[in-house]
Amino acid sequence: MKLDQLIMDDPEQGLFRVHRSTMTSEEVQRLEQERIFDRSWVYVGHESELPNPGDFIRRRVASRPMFFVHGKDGKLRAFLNTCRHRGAMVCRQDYGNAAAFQCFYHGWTYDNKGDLIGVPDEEGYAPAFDKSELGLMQPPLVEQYRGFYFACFDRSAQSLDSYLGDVKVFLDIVIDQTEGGIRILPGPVRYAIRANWKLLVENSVDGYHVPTTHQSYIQYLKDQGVSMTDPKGRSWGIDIGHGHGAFSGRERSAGQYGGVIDHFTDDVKVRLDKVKAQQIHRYGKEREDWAPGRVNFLVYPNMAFVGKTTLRTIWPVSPGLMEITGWAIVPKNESAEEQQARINEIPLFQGPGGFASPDDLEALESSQLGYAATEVEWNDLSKGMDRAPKPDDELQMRAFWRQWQADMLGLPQARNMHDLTKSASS
Amino acid sequence: MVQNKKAPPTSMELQHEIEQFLYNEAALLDDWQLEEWLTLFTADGTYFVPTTDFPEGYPEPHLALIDDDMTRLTGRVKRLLSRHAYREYPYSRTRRMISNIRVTGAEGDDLQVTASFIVYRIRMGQVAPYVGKYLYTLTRENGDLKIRHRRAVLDLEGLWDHGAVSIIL
Repeated sequence: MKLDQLIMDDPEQGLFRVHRSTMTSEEVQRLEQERIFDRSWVYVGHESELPNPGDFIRRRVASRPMFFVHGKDGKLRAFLNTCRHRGAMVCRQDYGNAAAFQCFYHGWTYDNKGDLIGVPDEEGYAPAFDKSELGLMQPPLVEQYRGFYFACFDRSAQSLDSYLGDVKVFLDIVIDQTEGGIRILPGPVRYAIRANWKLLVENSVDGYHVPTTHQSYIQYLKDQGVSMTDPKGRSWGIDIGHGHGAFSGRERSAGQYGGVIDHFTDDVKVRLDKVKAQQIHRYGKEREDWAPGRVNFLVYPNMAFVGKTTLRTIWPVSPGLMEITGWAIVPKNESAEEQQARINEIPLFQGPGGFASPDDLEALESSQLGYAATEVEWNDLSKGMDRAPKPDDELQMRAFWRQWQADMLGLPQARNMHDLTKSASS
Repeated sequence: MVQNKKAPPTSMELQHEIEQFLYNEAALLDDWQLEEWLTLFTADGTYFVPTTDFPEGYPEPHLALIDDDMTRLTGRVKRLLSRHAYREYPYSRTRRMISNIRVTGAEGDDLQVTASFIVYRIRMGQVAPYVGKYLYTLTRENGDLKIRHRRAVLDLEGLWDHGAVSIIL
C-alpha cells in the first residue's frame, strides 16, 4: 500500500476511510517517528512540575530518554539523558532535586544548567578537548506556551506559537479555569495498551462511543442521581487546524470540571457555581455557552486533554503497543476541600482504575486484534461528514488523520483541509 | 506507611483467624462472589490503590488509581457484575497468592494487618501478575472481623503489562 493511498477522503460523497495498515505496519511506524515525532512540537512537561531550582523529572519524549530540569539560574531546560562521554544516562531517578548530575560510569559531572563541570583525571586529555562543548545536549528547539513546555527535533520547524495556532484557545480554557492558573499534580498514572497509539488519539476525542462503551459508567451516574436528560450548553466537533481537534460536550451537573462530581457537599457546590460564573466572565461572551462545560481536545500529534482535569501523552512503542502517562490538572488557588474533591473524582472516570478507561482499553485492544483479519482493509470515520459537526461525529478525528497524511507525505498541509460542511454550530 | 517494624506479639489464635479471613476474602474475589465480598466491609469502609509513582504516599494531594468509599465500591461491584464492564466481561480468571501476613498494630478493636500478594490475571492470551502488599485496618462487628480500610499497594513501576486495574486487587 502506497503512502498516498492510506486514506480515502471523499467530502463530496461524505466518506472517509483509513487503511488498517496504518495501525499495523512496521514501515508506517518507522516513518511516523521520522516524519511526525521528529518534526512536530511534542510535549515535554509543565513548569509547575519543577517549582524549585534543582528540581528534575525524568521522562521519555519522542522515543528519547530525557530529563526536565529547573536550573539554578531559574531557567527550565530539557536535556537528552545521555552522558557525552559514553552514553550512560546521567539522570537515574524519576523525580528529585539535584545541584549536579554525575554519570556513575566514569564520573563526568554536569550542573543543573547542563554544563560539564567535572571530568576525573582531566590532565589525561589533550588541549583540544573542550569541556565547554560537552555539556548535556538539548533538543534543537524548546519553547513554552503559558507554562506548557514543548520540544521539537526539527531545527527548521515553525515556531510553537504558529504550530499551536487556534488550539491555544483550548489551552487557555484549561489554564483559566480559575484566576490563579493551573498546576500539574505529581504522581501520574502510567500504563500501556496493546494497540496502535492512534487508536487512543481517536478515542480521546470520540464522543460516539460513550453511550455504548461506557454504559455501565453512565448507569453508575444515574444511580447517583445525576441527571443525564438535561444537557445544557452548545456542543459540537471541531477541526482546530493543523491536526488539532476537539469536541465540546454537553454540560451535565458540575460539568465545569469536565465531569460529574458525586461527592460534593452543598457548600462546595455553591462555591463551584461561583467559580463557574467567574469562568464565564474569563472565557468571554463568545465562548460562555460552551467553554465552561466539557471539552476534550488533542494537541497534535499525541497530547490529549480529557476534560479539563486530565492530560495524557500517548507514545508508540511498536505498531501494536503504546505507552500512556496521565496527569491530573488542578487550579492553583482552590481550597483544599475543592482540590481533594476534584482529585477524588478523576480516578472514577478516567485512568486505569476508573469506571470507564478500562473499557476504552478493551475496545482499542479488541480493534487491534481485529486488524489481524487483513481481508478487512478499511476503518470508517465518515460520521457526520455532510452535516454540521456534532460532538459524537468524527470530524475531529478526520482533522487528525488529514494532518497525519500530510506529514507522512511531506506536504506542508493536508490536501482536504476540511469537510465540505463546516459550519460550527449546533 | 513503612511496615518493616517488628510486629507486636500476636496470639496463634488471632493470627489464624486473620489468615483464614484473608484467604476466604481471596477465594470470594477469585470466584467473582463480589456482592458477598462487599459484606466483609464496615459501612465506612474504604478501598484504595495508590499510583505506582508514590506507593508509600506523598505529602501533598495527588492522584490515586482507585479511591473508593462504600458508595463507589458498591458501584464498582455492580458495574463489574453488569456484563457491561467490557474489560472484565467475559470475566478474567484470577488467582491470588497471599502470604507474609502480619499484625503490625492494634488499637481498640482495630487491627493493622499487612500481607504480600501476587494476583494473576489471565485473559485474552495474556498472563499478568500484579505484585504488591495489602495494608488492612480490620475491626470487629458483633465479634466478626470486618474491613475498615483496604489499601493495595503495587510494587510495579507502571501498568505496563496490565493496562488497567480492572479487577479488584
